[in-house]
Amino acid sequence: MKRTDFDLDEMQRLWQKQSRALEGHSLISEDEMMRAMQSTRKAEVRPLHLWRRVAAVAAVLIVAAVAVWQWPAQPATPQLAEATPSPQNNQKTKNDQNIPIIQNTPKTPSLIAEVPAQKDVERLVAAQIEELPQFISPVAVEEDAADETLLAQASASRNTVWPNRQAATDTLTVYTTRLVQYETPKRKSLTETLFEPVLASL
Amino acid sequence: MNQKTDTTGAAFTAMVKRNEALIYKVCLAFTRQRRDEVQDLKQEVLCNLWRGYEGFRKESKESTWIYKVALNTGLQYYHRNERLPHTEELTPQMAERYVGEEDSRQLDRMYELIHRLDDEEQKLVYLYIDKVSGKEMAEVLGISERNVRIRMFRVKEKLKRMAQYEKD
Repeated sequence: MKRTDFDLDEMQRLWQKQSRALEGHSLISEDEMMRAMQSTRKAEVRPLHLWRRVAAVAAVLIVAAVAVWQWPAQPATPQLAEATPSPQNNQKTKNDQNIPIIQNTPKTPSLIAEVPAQKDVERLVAAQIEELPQFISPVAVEEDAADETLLAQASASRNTVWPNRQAATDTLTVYTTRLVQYETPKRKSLTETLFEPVLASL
Repeated sequence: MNQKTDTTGAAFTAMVKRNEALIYKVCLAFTRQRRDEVQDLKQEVLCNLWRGYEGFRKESKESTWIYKVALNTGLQYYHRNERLPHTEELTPQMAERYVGEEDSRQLDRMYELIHRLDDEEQKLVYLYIDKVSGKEMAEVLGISERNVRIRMFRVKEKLKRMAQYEKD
């Protein structure tokens, strides 16, 4: 076959000739095979190291996640839950369904106003509750009169400087208890009127 | 080595011994018959064979599997080194030759021509010149026997054109 001639059959003939020439020679020694087996075995150890590294990283991540989870929650503004009835609400009276529920009550005092001593706060809250006895038995009170009183209370609370979130949310809780007794449309308007100043002060 | 590895190692060694000519021919083809490169590529092929030996399910002929591994390793080796200059004439000490000098030169020219083909075509030609059956070629390449025939026809035409172009 000259340089520029081409014949696959000629190629085949040459290749076969070479194959025959190779016969009888020891082409691959035991030593070469052993070397291949040994070098590959060393490489097989690597995945174990890799798994150890992965396990170490996973452990660090788990510890970090637990630490974040355990971290004390930052005080947040109390939120009113959606008016959609939850399974718990369904167990209450039908009128309860649209009652806003105060959630996420913070335990740490905020900087709304000057923080008074704990006893002062307790006294203030107790006084506010005492001022609302007429709402405890609404059956005995005309609805309109009750409305007026509630609104008066709300008006008064507009100027109140709440000493801390706890006091404000306690008051909101009291309002919520009272509002349960009203029909839904009225309760809604009363809720807005009563809650707005308190929430605004937060 | 434990007993299991000993048994596997012995079986592997026996398999390589049965097919050493096949492995060696592929190594010669992808290294331009340079003795040092033949040794390197041979070691790479052996490593790859051993690495894949546990997964070799013996569903196909062992020669089919060895062809697959050896040809792929050879092609990788060739592409890794193809940009290196190979301009110097090989001395008899540097060359790994088992046939006469003229035949050996012709083999070099033949390899040079084959290496201009793309990878799949190269595999096809090496299997063809080694007189591998159409069925086994199809298994090695992962295509149908009919496809092997079609591709072979095209490769022959391509090689003829390449040779003609060089002649002109």
